[in-house]
Amino acid sequence: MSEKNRLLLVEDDNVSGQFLRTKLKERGFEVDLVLDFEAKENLNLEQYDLILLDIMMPNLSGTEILNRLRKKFNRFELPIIMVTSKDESASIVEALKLGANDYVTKPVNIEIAIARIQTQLQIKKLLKESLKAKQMSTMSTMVATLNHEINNPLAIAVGNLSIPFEKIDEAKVKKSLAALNRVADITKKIAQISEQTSSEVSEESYGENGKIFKIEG
Amino acid sequence: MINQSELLDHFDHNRELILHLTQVLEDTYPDNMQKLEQGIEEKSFEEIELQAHSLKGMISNFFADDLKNIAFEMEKKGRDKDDSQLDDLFHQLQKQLPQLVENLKIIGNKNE
Repeated sequence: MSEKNRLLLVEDDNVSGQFLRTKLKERGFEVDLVLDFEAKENLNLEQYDLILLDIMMPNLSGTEILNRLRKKFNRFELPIIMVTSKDESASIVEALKLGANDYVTKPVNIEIAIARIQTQLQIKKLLKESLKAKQMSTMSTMVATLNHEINNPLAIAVGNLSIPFEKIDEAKVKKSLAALNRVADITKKIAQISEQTSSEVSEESYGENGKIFKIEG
Repeated sequence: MINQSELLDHFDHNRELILHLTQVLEDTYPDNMQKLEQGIEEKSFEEIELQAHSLKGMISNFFADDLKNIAFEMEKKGRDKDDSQLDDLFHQLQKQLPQLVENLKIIGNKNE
């Protein structure tokens, strides 16, 4: 069974909030309703796939919350759909400029809301998959390059040391040593990259022992 | 007062949910009304706009357009810092909100 998408609904109006939460739950979403966002400053936002955010609220308005959130998460990491009244066109434009992904109007038509939520979740998923494919491709190129980098000096060392012992001179030993040092440098480099990147993408595992090569850009 | 067919469509004919949210409305709106009244007394237009907006949002779930429009009028007056007719609009809300709650309870308790 696929994992449920988890939504955060920030809505000061308890009637609209409870209506939306009930309807979204019926459609298979996990929904947390927060009536006062400011009072929940320790909320772990990383657990949510998408936020539904009311624009006009006391204390901290939806656009202020949006502004704060966009400093931490971009549109693809955390999609935000604004919940507005039909007469709030100026606020809608402002919110879209500030980085809202979309909006729905009150009273919320549940079919429209779900279509818009699914669209944003689909974009997020596709982008994640595309990023993962890019990382895999980069890693594959990197493995091929490093393989070549190791094989060349190793072939030199093996070649120099595979002749009868009495024929091995100092020059051959020096060449072999240089080649083996090169191999040692490359393996150190691999270990460094692996340590740096595996902590960044801890849940994903492309390589052995949970190690992953990730190249930015 | 209530567009009953739109209300029932919106709630997918779930009368239990209508009753539940009617109870939420009944529990919630007196606080908004109290803050709205205080806002009018103190001429705090920001408070008037905010409370009227909140009431409008709650009422809009129940398709009571006349009542929603009264709240919207108050919200606009708050935004425009216009103190004309605020008392009159407030009293209309005060009178009609309990009626809305009662009518919703009747609809919620009806058997299909």
